[in-house]
Amino acid sequence: MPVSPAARLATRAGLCAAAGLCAAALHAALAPLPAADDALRVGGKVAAGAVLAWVAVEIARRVAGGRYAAFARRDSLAPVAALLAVSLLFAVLFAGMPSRMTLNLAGFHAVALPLAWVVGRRAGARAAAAAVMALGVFGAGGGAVNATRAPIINDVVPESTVKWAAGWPTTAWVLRHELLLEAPLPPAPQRLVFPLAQPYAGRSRVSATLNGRDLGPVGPMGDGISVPIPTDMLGLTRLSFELRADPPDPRLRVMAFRYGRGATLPGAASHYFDGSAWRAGTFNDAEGRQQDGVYIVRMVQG
Amino acid sequence: MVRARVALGIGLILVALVALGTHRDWADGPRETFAFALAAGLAAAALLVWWAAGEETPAWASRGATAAGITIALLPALVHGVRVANADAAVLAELPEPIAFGRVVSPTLRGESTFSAEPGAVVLRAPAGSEGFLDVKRPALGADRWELPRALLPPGGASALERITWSAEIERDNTYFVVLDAEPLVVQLRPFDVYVQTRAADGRYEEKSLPMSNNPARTRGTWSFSHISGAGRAGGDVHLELDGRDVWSGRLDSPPRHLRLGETRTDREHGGTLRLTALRYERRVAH
Repeated sequence: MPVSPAARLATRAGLCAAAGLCAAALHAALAPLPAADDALRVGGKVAAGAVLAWVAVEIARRVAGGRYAAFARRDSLAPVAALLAVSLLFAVLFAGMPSRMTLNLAGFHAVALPLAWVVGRRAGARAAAAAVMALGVFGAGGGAVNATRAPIINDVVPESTVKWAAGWPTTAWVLRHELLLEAPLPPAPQRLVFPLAQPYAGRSRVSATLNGRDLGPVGPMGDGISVPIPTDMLGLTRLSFELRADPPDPRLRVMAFRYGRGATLPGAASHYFDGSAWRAGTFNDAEGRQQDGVYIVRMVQG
Repeated sequence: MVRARVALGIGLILVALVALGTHRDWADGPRETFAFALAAGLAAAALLVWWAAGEETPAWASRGATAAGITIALLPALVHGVRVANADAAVLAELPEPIAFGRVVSPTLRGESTFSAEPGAVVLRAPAGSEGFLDVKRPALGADRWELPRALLPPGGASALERITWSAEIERDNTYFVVLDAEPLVVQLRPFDVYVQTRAADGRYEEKSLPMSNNPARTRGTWSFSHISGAGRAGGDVHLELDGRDVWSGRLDSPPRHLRLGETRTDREHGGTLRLTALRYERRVAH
């Protein structure tokens, strides 16, 4: 017995509702401290997403099935109406999120306008409108997804795995950073600066050695530790800086970064001495753990 | 076929009712949320089974939808069972070695205070006029720990027991040294006693003194502070011990805002040195 369109519509709607209910049940059962209204909101979003996906599938089916062929040669303002309708949908969907709304509208128009023109030339205004609507459906679904990643450049956060701080927990503690240069530094005064994770005004002082030569106190000054390179060492291509702090102070920390791209020895530039052995990477003392990465440094002239 | 589906539905409803009947706040969180999860799971299962029974639905899709429906209907009850079975689970954190102090405490230093990790101890020096204390970290667990009772996830959650046990040597410079600041409870060492001060909701202070016959400027001991929060206990029941001896037990009008060891006071009557040799934090379900 053939299934009536109404029954088919009801089953599809039921499936969309089931998807939303599944999401709501999962959220309410598994989330750390769930509230029923939160779960309901999650379920509603998933159900709406399912509806959008279903509409997109239906549109694709109909386009593929040639149902728009009858309208293909008619001239009309359908593509413009479609653009306006989708723009309105975006405005409603991203109300309260101006950046996301702007980005989605700009991205949508950047693709939809040439798409409408190309499809309109080949298949007519109605087909162009259908294409714009289909793009809008996908855009609305994808634009609502929050897939942001932690920015690479970020303030130091103790528990971060991207950018954290490393200090000197004990007087025996030493931080070492090595540079392997392709060519000697130019014969002008140079300094290697270790920016601090936070401004420091305590009484701890940092002393440095370069390739084993004692350079004496090097800071902290301002917002960094600045290690001058003696002029007679500017010709060297391998420079090993070691920093000690006395007395130890947890407020005095340099910054460390997970990724060594840009360091001259990307995976092996930074080490620390914990009083018994040299260890690779950095020690995030605020979290009490070793973390692979490099100290953030910059070479400054003058 | 219809009979089998009806039997399946009745079975799933019975499981949900049993789960609801055995609901525990400490395991599952708020009752209404748990009931919502069960109801949503059953409703989703009903819709999936209805779709599975449709004439247009292919056999493989029908079986898949039925299995998915049963799974989603049973899931909240299964999660409930696992959490109840984990009633004795605990959230633990310990000071493994002094240089790894960051796992359990976060130092705050102002003025002339200093802090360092030395062999066998972390040393906090806070002279009079300078603030210097260690905030005990209270681990907050995330969504990936679905199997744990909900009371364990946030620090100070309902029906949870929080206990810190620490061994320390305290050297007073002056009359007072703050052993523990768990606002609204403050524990201080004085020359002849342990002085406990609590602040009630109306701002009134209560004091208690535990005389110590021999409390020289340098005191060594193992302290234990526990706190139970939950329904019917506005701020929670509190218990403080020193070397296994009761120092103070009572109730607080509000839960501890923080757990701080060391000088949180900056007047000239305070100041000293704290050598912390061991620290253990645990959080358990309070049945």
